[in-house]
Amino acid sequence: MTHIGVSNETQLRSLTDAAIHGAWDTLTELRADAAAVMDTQQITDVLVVAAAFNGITRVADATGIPLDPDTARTTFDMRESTGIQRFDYSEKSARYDL
Amino acid sequence: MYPSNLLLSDNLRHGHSASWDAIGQAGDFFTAAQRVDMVRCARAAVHCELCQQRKQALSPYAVSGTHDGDSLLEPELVDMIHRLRTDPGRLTYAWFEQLIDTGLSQQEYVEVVSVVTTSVIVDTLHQSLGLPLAALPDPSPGKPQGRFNSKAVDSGAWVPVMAAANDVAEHGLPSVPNIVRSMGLVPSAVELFFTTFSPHYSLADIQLSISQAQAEFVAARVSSINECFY
Repeated sequence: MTHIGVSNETQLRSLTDAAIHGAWDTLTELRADAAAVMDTQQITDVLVVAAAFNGITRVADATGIPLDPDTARTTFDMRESTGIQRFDYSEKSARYDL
Repeated sequence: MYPSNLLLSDNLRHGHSASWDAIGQAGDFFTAAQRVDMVRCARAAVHCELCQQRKQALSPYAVSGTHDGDSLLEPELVDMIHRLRTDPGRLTYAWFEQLIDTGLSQQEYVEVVSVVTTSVIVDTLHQSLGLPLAALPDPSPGKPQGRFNSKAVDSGAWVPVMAAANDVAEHGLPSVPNIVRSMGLVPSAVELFFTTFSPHYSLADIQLSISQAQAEFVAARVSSINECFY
């Protein structure tokens, strides 16, 4: 698994995945495991952010809102080199519409 | 709404309580009973057999049927809510257009998005913290007021959005990001959602015990899972 250098990213990833996939029993265990390296406030705050983005990503998905023009311009090279550039909402129509 | 021993900010507690109360009030295009039913529908979607079959399909539009759960809402709205709750990453513009062609107004669509996504935040946090889901709000009497932003503009999104200058703030990101503008056709929808969302996150100088980088890592992970391309 690729690591990008964010502190406790293994715990961040597993807590987030369980929260978004609704794996509540697993999440209970992961919270206990994460307590070895993170305090209760930090674990809570990971879940606070995950919950928020579980909502706001749906706003974006449901409105097809495009990336902000200035952000699109300043991050173009990064998005091109990482392949993110090819993801846009029109791509979903090509992929999923019958 | 949350036990006092949980390490949640007062802003978050107040925001969620205010939003939950607001869902129990008439919106601009739906009654309180309809809005509460949207939350009930979103919860039913999690265990819906049809939604699970669609999730397994290569295209969610290849599987038809009836959703689990009773509802006051029209079948098209129930279907919208179930898709938004269980498979948001595969919503498409063609699906949206077909939904609007059934007679749902763009304003109504935006209000549904706001109510459902607000409830997703509240429910996800409850369940993540090992809490039972919050009791549904008691619907208050009252009629929808029909207020909307007649000056909303086309920005390339599926719906008209709030007009705003493309200014860049000190942190280098837009002062009014497109996502904040996205439900601007119905100002009360923006208020409902961001009253809930804002205490959770900020683009810079995040007021949490985790770093901005950690918060962005979590945000990016959720975006990936939900196939959010924004």
